[in-house]
Amino acid sequence: MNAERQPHSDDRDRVKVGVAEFAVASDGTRVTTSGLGSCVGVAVADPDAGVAGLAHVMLPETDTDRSKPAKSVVQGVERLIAEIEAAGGRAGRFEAKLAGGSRMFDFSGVSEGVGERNVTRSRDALAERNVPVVAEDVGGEHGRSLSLHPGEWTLTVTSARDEVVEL
Amino acid sequence: MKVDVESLGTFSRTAHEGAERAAENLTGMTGIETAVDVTRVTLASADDLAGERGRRVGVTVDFEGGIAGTSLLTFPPEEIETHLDALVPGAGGDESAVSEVGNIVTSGFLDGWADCLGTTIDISPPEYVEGTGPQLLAATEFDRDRAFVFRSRASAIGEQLDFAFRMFPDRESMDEMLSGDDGIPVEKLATLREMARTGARTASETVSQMTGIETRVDISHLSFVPVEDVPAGLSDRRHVGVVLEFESTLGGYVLILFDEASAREVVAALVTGETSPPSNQPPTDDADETRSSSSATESRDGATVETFDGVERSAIEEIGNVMTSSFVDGWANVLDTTIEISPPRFVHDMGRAVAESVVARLGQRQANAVLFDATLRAADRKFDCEIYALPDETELRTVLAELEPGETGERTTRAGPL
Repeated sequence: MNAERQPHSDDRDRVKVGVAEFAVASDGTRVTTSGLGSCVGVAVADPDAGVAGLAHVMLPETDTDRSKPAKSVVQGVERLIAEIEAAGGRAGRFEAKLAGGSRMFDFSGVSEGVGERNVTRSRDALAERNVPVVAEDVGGEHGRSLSLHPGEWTLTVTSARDEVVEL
Repeated sequence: MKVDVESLGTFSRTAHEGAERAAENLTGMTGIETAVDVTRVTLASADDLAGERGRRVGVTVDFEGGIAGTSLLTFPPEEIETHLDALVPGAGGDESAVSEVGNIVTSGFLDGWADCLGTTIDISPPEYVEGTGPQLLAATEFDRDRAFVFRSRASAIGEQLDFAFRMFPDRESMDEMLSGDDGIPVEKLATLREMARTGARTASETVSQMTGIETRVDISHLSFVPVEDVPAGLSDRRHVGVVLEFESTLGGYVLILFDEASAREVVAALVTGETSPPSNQPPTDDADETRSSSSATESRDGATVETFDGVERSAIEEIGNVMTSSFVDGWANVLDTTIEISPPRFVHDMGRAVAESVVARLGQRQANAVLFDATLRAADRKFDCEIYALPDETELRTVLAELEPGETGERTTRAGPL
């Protein structure tokens, strides 16, 4: 038996993204994330190149750099865009789609509205990099799961009530 | 030994990277794509594996060098044998084939650690082990002096195969890794865990009293995790339950989440006073954080979405509220503080999304979390209820600083009137 490490095979048809992580894929390889509550799924694509990526960002700001790569909105968006460029995407052609940022329950205090602030911060971070947001499914009080198809540049949003929205 | 929660969170990441390396090694050997589901650093306990009744096979490996200790890697026997048989016909039942795979996967874990710590780790030859959780724990010659366990679980994509890895570092190794004076003494963390376990047992008794469904605490852990890693412990299936906030001295949150079928049983018992008869189905054997994939499919396949409105919702809020009161009952005495909890906020959503919404709040103040989790199950039917407690770390540290050694979590009062 051969114990050598192999690179991730190119023919895998699905890449899972956890909380505070991101991934980039091309053509028919889907990128998925599940259980989005107040976090935001930021999808960015170069539709002409068939390259797209998804970041599961968690907090509007964070000051620790020992965390996972997409914990904060700004870092997540920056790293996602850099990775799409490295995969052959061209900056002038980028488009973005957003989903998430819900408010599942209300407690008093400064931590409130983190979902809404995640959405606002995501829009700002994309605008600063001249990436237009072409579709959104944000807010509300329910969780979401996302599936990004880079080749078709679609972001399928499934809500906790099994309702499906195609962005 | 004093424990810096921030350092433990960092080591949790190291362990996770080791787990990913191990998963790659398994893929390299077998071609099976695996994904690491969850990694936790938990306070070690002699009954850590006691809840695992299913038979597993695997290897224990001793290691020394930059870090010293023992590890245990296990697979479900039928599944790993099927896969090994496909690779080397006739090898399926062979202990040496399991040992070889186990050795390579374990090396991946420890290579990950060695790289992160910038050191070398020497591993001794693997020893084949098989049996139930308690038997496996005995095989690792569990030493009570070991303070922490690093646990990872990975599963194959689209296949029925998983592996569970546990690393038990020696106390001296942990002492060196966690050196620092401003941490929490490990003895106080043990007290905290006992307090939480007692609370979980009381909450379980409350469920039994209120619903007539005999429940017990199946698994409980005190873990130290980066906030972003907390949601991975829950599935994205829909759960029904409540979220409550600790008010006053101790901040943070409590989550009580039933799977939908269990929530229906609870509602039926509270609203009509009736529960379904015990099923012939044996209780689930998927101990640890494993979630059976079949039940996920069942709930997803359901064409109708269950609603919990009006009286059903009130029933869940009520039991969640009383369970939380029972859970924290006794804490105030031990911690010598007052603990007030907010009114319950009802949730009916993906378990992972609920947890994520909680840690997005907590994460604005702290990078790592002290997580207590417990799973309640019933002996005579499928029943699943998760209790998660996530205290505010700074406030917890302040409260623990005042704690006298030797205090226990014995409760002094019963839960409120039912």
